[in-house]
Amino acid sequence: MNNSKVNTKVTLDEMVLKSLYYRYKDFTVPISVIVVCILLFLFLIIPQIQSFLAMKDSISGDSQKLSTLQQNLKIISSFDDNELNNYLDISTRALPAEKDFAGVLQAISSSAAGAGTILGDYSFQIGDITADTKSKTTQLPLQLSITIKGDLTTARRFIEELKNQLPLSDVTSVSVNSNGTIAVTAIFYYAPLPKISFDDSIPLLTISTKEKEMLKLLDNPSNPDSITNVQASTPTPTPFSSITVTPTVVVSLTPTIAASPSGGTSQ
Amino acid sequence: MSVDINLLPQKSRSKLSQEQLLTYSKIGAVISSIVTVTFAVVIFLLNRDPSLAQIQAQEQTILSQLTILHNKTAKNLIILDRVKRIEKIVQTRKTLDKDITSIQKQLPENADVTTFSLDGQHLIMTISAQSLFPLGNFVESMTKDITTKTLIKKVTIEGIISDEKTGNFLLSINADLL
Repeated sequence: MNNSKVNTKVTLDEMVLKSLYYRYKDFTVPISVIVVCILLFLFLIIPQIQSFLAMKDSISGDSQKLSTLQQNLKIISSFDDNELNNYLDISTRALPAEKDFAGVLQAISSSAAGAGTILGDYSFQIGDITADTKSKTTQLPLQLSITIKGDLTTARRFIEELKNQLPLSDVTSVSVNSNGTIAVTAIFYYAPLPKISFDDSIPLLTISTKEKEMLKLLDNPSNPDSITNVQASTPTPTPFSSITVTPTVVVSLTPTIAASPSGGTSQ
Repeated sequence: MSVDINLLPQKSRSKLSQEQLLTYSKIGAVISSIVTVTFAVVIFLLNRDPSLAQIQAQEQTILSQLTILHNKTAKNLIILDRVKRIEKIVQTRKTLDKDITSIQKQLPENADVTTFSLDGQHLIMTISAQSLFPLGNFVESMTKDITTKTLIKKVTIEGIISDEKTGNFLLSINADLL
């Protein structure tokens, strides 16, 4: 019974190791080579492949960016300075960056002259002067109440003329009274300039032909093909040219001012 | 002693298997060496692709050119912003001049506008005439306007007054516009 027991204890002594070595020594070199190759593949080749793929992506992205940059450069280089200045002038006259009292007075004066009427009293509703978060994204109104003399036809002509003047306005109400006076309420718009951030990698947009036509039409409603040259254009002298409106001072006193064309102001 | 036991074939089979294994391992080592070296060389060559550096250099050149032209870019961006806002204003502003023209067309020749108030949504007006016929024609014209949905949505006649001093009839209407 005792002889049939199997001794399960394994001893790994020097003799055993030597015998294993001599038995498998021919395998040492090939197995080592394979192991080294696997290690090289895992820790060198695969990271290099990943690096290569990342570089390919980078090349693709940079090529696209380069293409956009080249396109932007082409567009900007094609801009004619005078034309750009003209469009900038028209667009900022149509929608000023701040309350353009002189422009507004010139517009109503020209409209009254065009309608063949006499301009009476007018008053600005300055409105809220506190900073508004919406003001950065929307146009701000500058309400103006005007009194002119005439009948319904005069009122219509005045509105038509005002529509063709810059800054842009919107006549919101008109009342013709039996005593021959017309009360017109108009809103003149202005909007702060946008915050310009230069990101040349974004495709540059330009104004379309339709928009150019619109600007030309705003500048010269009777002849949209001709565009006023900025250098040559000078403000038309008006009866209000001597009036200097300082909105800050006026607003600090009262939110509403009324002024007559002669230059006098009254509340 | 048993003579039936023959260990020779088994030993030979085992030796052959070990030789084959050695051969296979040698072949495997050679193949893996070739594959590793090939991959290493190919990846090394591919990573030496100079196009990225060239593209980045071109980018820098164009960016420096664009920086010089930022003045023009700023002008263009301002124009775009203004145009966008201007289009919005032009599209949404009221057309009181056209409304007045439309109302004037409906006004009979021998009738005058005494008072008129228009704000884009409501029209309040008084017209005067020496007889009731022009006033009737005007009301009829307004009624047709409602049918054709040109300008007016609803008209209310506020009153018809006879002024004995002037001999005129006055018609006051209040209309809601479309």
